[in-house]
Order: sequence, then C-alpha cells, then structure tokens
Amino acid sequence: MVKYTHAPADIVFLGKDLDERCHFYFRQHWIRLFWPLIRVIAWSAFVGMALWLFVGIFSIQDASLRYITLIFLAMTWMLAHFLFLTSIYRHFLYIIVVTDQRVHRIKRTLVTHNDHQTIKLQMLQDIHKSQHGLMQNLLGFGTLTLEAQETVLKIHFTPRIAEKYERVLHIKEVERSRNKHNVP
Amino acid sequence: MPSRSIWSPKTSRRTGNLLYLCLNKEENDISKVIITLICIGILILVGEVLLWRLFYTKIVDMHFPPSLDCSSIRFFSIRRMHIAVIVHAMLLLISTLFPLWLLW
Repeated sequence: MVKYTHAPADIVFLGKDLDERCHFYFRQHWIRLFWPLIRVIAWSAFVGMALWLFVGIFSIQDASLRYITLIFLAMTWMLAHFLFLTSIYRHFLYIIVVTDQRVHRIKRTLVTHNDHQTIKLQMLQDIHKSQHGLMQNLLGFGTLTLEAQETVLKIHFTPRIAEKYERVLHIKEVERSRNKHNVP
Repeated sequence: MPSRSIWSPKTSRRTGNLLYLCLNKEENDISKVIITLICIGILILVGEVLLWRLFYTKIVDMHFPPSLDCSSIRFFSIRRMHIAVIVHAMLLLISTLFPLWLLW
C-alpha cells in the first residue's frame, strides 16, 4: 500500500504556485549515468595504457617530447573526469515534481539549458507507461507519457515506473473527485 | 650538470625503475617540474570549484525534502554532494600529480 503524504510548506522551486502542494519528486534512473561511467573508465584505461607504452616501455629519451606527452596525458585524464562530473551534475539538475495540480519537468544544464515544462492534472486526457527491452523491464524504468489537449509530456528513464504511474493516476482521481465536490 | 643518482639512466630506463625516475631529477628540472605540477594542480582546483559553483547556482533555488524523493539514487543531498566533490578533487589531484612527479 502506497502512503500518500502531503509535503511541508517549505518546498520551493521556480514556477510553483503558493497553494500548490508537492506529493513527490524524482530524477531519472541511475542507468543514465552508466554510459558516462563507461566513458570515463575507457578514457582512464587509454591514459594508463599510453603512459605504460610511451613512458614505460618505449621510454621517450627526448626531454621535451616526454614533457609534452605527459602534459597531454594529464590533460586528457583531467578532461575525462570533468566531463564525468558534468554528466553527474546534469543528472541531478533534471527533476520531475508531481504536485496536487500539475506535473513539472525542470530540466537544466550547467550553462546552456533552463527548461521548465508543466502539465495540469485536470487537463490530462491520457497517461501511459512504456517499457521496452530487457534492461527496462529488469531494472523497472521506462517512459511515462502524459497527454493533455495540445501538450504531450514525455518523461524518459522514469525509475520504478509502475509505482509512479499508479501514484499519478491516484492523485489525478483524488483531485478530480475533490473538484467535483467543490462545484456548487 | 652531473647526475646525483648512482644508477645509470640507460639501465634504469630499460628496467622501468620508477624510483630512479623520481630521484634522478636535476636541479633545473626540479623547479620546472614543481612549477608545472602547481599549474596543473591549480587548473584542477579551479575546474572543480567552477563546476560546483555553476551547479550550486542552478540547484540553490529548488528546495525539496528528502522524504519526498522517489529517485533511484537518494543518497546524495546537496551537502553530501559537496563532500563527494571535495573527495573527488583530492583524488583527482593525487592521481594526476603523483604519476606526473614519478614519470617526469
């Protein structure tokens, strides 16, 4: 049984109304960090192999060439790690917030992007989830699609998608019944 | 300038003796090595601080309590991320400067 709790009033983010109450929020599945991790491991292996080959085995005798090789490998190593760090930051800056009125998708990057897309729960016509492939079904993530009149909000790499799908449906039904009772 | 080491460069290079490479730095080499290592160290620290500041300015206006977090990774709060970034910076400094010093 999923416990639905309302959030305390101190939740703050740009685009949130004062009377809006947050139910939950989430980021994309950790699998999104798998490829950057593989990339940094591959770059590190390349730097290690290059050090072993050029400095260890062939042992460059020319001082300036040795100097340039070492600096180049150090810079490559640094760049690989900074790119990995950027990927992690980008992962933490992509947040989906589900409130009692709307679903917010806040997508930011360190420098270039600052997107905020919302969809009203009242306007939602259809919600569906899709999980394709072995990995998505094994790890329980997938794409959640929210369709309104003229807007479609796709949330890729939604973790524990079955649970999220149920919760969004439940919040939508609760809000719909509340609005019906409030109508005079 | 005469070498301070008792090992010959040819033998030690052939056998890949890292200790030789570490100890057998001539005096004018040492100052060059130290300046380069300091420059690379500063570059690493500036990069880490710059990336963290950029991230922090983007995340600082969003406050969410951990109890409402339904992500697949829930361990990293802002404070824990800051600690992890400091640890990463230290490890990156060591893993870059130490091999450079050895292999110069």
